[in-house]
Amino acid sequence: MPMTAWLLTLSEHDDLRREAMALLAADPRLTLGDRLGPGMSVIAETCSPDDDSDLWLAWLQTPGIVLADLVWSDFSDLEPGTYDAPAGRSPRRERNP
Amino acid sequence: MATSLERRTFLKTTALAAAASAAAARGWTPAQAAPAGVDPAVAARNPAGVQWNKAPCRFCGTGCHVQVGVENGRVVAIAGDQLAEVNKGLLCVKGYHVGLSLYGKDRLTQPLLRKNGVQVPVSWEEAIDVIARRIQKNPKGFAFYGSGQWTIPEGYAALKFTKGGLGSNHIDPNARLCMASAVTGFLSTYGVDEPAGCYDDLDKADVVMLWGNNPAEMHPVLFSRLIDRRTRGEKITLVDLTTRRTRSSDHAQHVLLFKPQTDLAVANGVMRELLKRGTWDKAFVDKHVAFRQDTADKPTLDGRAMDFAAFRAALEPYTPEHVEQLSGVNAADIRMLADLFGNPKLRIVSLWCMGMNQHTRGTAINRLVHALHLLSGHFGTPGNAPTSLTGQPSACGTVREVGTLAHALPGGRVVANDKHRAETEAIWNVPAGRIPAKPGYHTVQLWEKFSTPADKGGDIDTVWVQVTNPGQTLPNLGKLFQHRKAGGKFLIVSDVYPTATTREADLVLPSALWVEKNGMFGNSERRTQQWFKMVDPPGQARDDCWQTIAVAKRLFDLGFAGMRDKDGRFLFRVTDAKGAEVPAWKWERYYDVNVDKALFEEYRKFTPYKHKHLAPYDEYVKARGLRWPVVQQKNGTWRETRWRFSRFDDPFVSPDREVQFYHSLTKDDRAQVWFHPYEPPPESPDAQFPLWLCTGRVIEHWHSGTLTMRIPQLRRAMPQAYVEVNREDAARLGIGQGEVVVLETRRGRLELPAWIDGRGRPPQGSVFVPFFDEKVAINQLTLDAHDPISKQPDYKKCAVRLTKKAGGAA
Repeated sequence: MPMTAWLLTLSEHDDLRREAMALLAADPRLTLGDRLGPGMSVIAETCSPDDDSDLWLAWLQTPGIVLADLVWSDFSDLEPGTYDAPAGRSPRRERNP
Repeated sequence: MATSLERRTFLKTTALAAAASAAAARGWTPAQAAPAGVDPAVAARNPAGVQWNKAPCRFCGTGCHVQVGVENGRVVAIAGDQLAEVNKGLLCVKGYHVGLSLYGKDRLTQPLLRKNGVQVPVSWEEAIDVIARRIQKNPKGFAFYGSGQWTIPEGYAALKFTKGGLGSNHIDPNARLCMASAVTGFLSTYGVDEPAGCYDDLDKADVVMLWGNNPAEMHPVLFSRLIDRRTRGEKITLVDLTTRRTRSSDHAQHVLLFKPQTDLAVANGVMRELLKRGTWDKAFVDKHVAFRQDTADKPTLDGRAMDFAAFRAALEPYTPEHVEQLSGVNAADIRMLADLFGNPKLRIVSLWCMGMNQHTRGTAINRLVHALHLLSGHFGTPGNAPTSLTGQPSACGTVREVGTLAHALPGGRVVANDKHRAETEAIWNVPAGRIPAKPGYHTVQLWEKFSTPADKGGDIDTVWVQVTNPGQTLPNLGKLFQHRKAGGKFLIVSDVYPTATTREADLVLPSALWVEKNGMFGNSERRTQQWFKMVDPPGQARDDCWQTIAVAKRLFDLGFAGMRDKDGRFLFRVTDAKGAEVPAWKWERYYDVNVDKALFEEYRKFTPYKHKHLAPYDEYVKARGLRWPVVQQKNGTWRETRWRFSRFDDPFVSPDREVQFYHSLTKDDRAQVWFHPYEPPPESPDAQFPLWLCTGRVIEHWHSGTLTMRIPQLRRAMPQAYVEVNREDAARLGIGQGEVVVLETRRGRLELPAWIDGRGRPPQGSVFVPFFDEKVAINQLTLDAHDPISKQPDYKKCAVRLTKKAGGAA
C-alpha cells in the first residue's frame, strides 16, 4: 500500500475552501493534518498506485484546491519490476507522397 | 524487525513531519512549529532500515533535490529535500514517481546486436568490440548524439572521446532541439551563456512575464513557488503571452493570445512605446548598453553595430495598432505591457522555454526579450531578470557548460577559435591540431546525413545515441530518421527501456539510470549538483560513462592513435589516491575509484575562462548544489553567485562598477540590445492545410515518455496523445469529443482522438498535440526548418489539415 504526504494549497474563497475540505474529510484513504496557513497537509494511504493517480486527478479538478505538491512517498510494498510497459508499438509511419 | 503495523505508524508519523516541515519552509507556519526531527533523512532511519541520501530529480531542468530512501538494494521511498533551496521540500507529481521509473518490467538488461535482421543478446565484450572496430574503420563517419540528460561527467567523456580522441566534431545533443536558441540569445547579448539571475528572483518579482511558457505544467515546483506567494497575500502580476490557453493562463491576470511567430512584433511594439513615452531607463542604457542588428546578407551570432537613432527608427513602424494587426494582441495590451516595463518601481522577471526556443527566429526573439529588460533597466537587481528555463536536468550543466555541441569545447570555448582549440588540446595533452577547426554537424544535419546513402553525400555511417530518443523526438521523422533505408548505416543506442530508437538500432546497450550510478547535473539557474550511486542497475545494465571509456580503451588496444595522449597514455587514464592507474574500463573495477570525480576535476580546469568557476567535487558532495561562479573565499570556504554582472553579488565585477558585462561582445563591458523585425514563419496555414499545429508537453509525462509511460499512475492519468481542438473549429467540422480524427501536414499523417476544450484551449484556427506518446509519433508531421543561428527546429508552428476520419477536410 503506497503512502504519500501532500501539501495542498486551498482556495482563498471560503465556500470553495470549505467544499474542498469536506471532500477531503470524507475520503477514508486520507488523514488530514493541521491547517497550515493557506493550506493543509494530507496523508494518503491507498490500495494501489492507480488510487494515487485517481486522487491526484480528482484534486486537480477540485476548484477549492489550488495546488497539490508532493512532500513524501513510500512505495516499499510494491514489488520491483512489475510495472507494465506501454501498450503497443510504433505504428508504421505513413508519409504523404 | 518492526511489525508491519509499527512500520506504517512510523511512516505516517514521518510523512506528517515532512509535510509540517515543508509548510514551515514555505512560510506557512513558524519554523519552530514543525515537529522535532522533521528531516525525513534523519527521521526515516527507521527500524526497517531505510537509508536516505540526496539526489537531484531525474526529470526536468528545475533541479529539485529529492531524498531517496533505499532498502534492501531498492529505492522504496522519495521525499522532497527540506534542505534544498530550489524546491524547499516540495516535489511535483513526476518527482514523486521518479523512484518508480527505475522499475519498469521491460528494463533493458543485456546488450542486443542485430543479426540477420533480429536483435539478439550478445556479451558486453562483443558489443564493445563491434563499436570499436566500426569506429576504427571510419572515425570521421562516426557521430555521438546525446542530450541534456547526460550527467556532466558522461557528457565530458563523450566530448573528449569525440573531439580529443577521434579528432572529429560530430557530437551534438538533443538540447539542440530544446534550448539552442536560448544559448545564442545569451551569447549574442552578454557575450556569455546562461541566465544572470536565478530562482531567488521568483521570490522578489512583482511581475512575471511568461513568454510562450507553461510552468504550471512543465516546471510546477517553480510555479508553486510563485502562486504560493499570492496565497500568502503578496501581489504578483502574472502575464501570459501565449498562442494557446494553458493551466498557467488560469492563474494569470493578463492572457495575451498572439498569432504564432508574432512574439517579435509584440516585443518590438513594447520597446517602441517605451521610447515614445521616454520611460526607458536612459541611465542604464547610457552606461551599459550598445545596439546591434543582423548583418545585411545573412544572420550571424555577432551581427553588426547600429546606433540608438537607427534603433529607434527601426522600431518606429511597430505602433500598438500595427502590432495588433500583426499579432492579434490588442493595442491596449501592448500599452499595458509598456506600462509595466516603463515602471522602474516594479521588479520584472521574464520566463521562457520551448515557446521561444523552438522557433525559426528563436535567437531573435530571445534577444528581444533581453533587449526589453535592458532597455527598461529591469536587470541586475533581485527580482529583475530575463531567465530561460530548461526542459532537461543537465541541459545547462552538461550541454551548455561542458559544451557537448558540434561547434563547442568545454567552458564556453568554440572549435573555430585557434586559441580555444590549443587550450583544450593542452589540458587533454593531445597533439596540437587534433581538434578540427570546422564545426561538426548540428542535429538536423547529422540525422539528415545519417539518413542519406553514402553515395549521395551521407557521410555519417555510425551514430551512437546515449540518453535520448531521436526516433520519437526529431522533427520531420520521415526525413530525418530513415537510416535503415539508406543502407550501410549502423545505429548504436544506449538506453534503459525499449524506445522508438532502440527498435531501429543495430546495437542496443542497456544503461544504468539515475541513482544506479554516480552523477552530476547542472540546472537552469547555474546550479551544479552531485549524487552518489545508491542501488545497482538491473541485469547487465552499465553506466553510459563506462560504456564510452570501455570503447575508448578497446580502440586504444586496437592501436587507434587518437586514444593515446602525447605521452602514449590512455586518454581516460584514472588513478587512485596513490597515483596508480585503475583499470576503470573493466566494469568490475569501475567503482574502485570515483571516475565522476576524476573527470569533473579535469573539466573544472576549463571553467574559469568564461568566469564559470566551479568548486572542487567534494564541495558538491556536501551541498544541495552551488550556483557558478563558485569562488573560494579568504577563509577557505566556497561562495556561490546568485546574480551575475552586478557588483553586490558577482565577485568578478570591478569595485568601481555597479553593473559590468565583463564578457561583452563589443569588449566595452556593454550588453547588446538587438533589433529584429517581425518576419512571417516558413510555413503558414493555407487553403490546403488551413490550421496551425503546435506540439509540446503535458504535466504527467516527461518528454518522449520513455520513463513516465512506465509509471502506472502517470500512464493512467494520461494514457495517450490527443489533439486539442477549439470548440468552434470542432463544431464547424462536425467533430465530437473523443472522436478519432486525421491530422495531416505536408510531411505525414496520423490519427488520434480529439479533445475539445480540454486542458489546453487553442484559439480558433489552431490545434495542439503532445509528443510523449510513442504510438502517436507527432513528429512525423512537424517541420525541420530551423533557426539560422542556433539551428534549432520549430516544433511550435506548421500548417496542418484536420479531418474527420470518415473524410471531409477542414
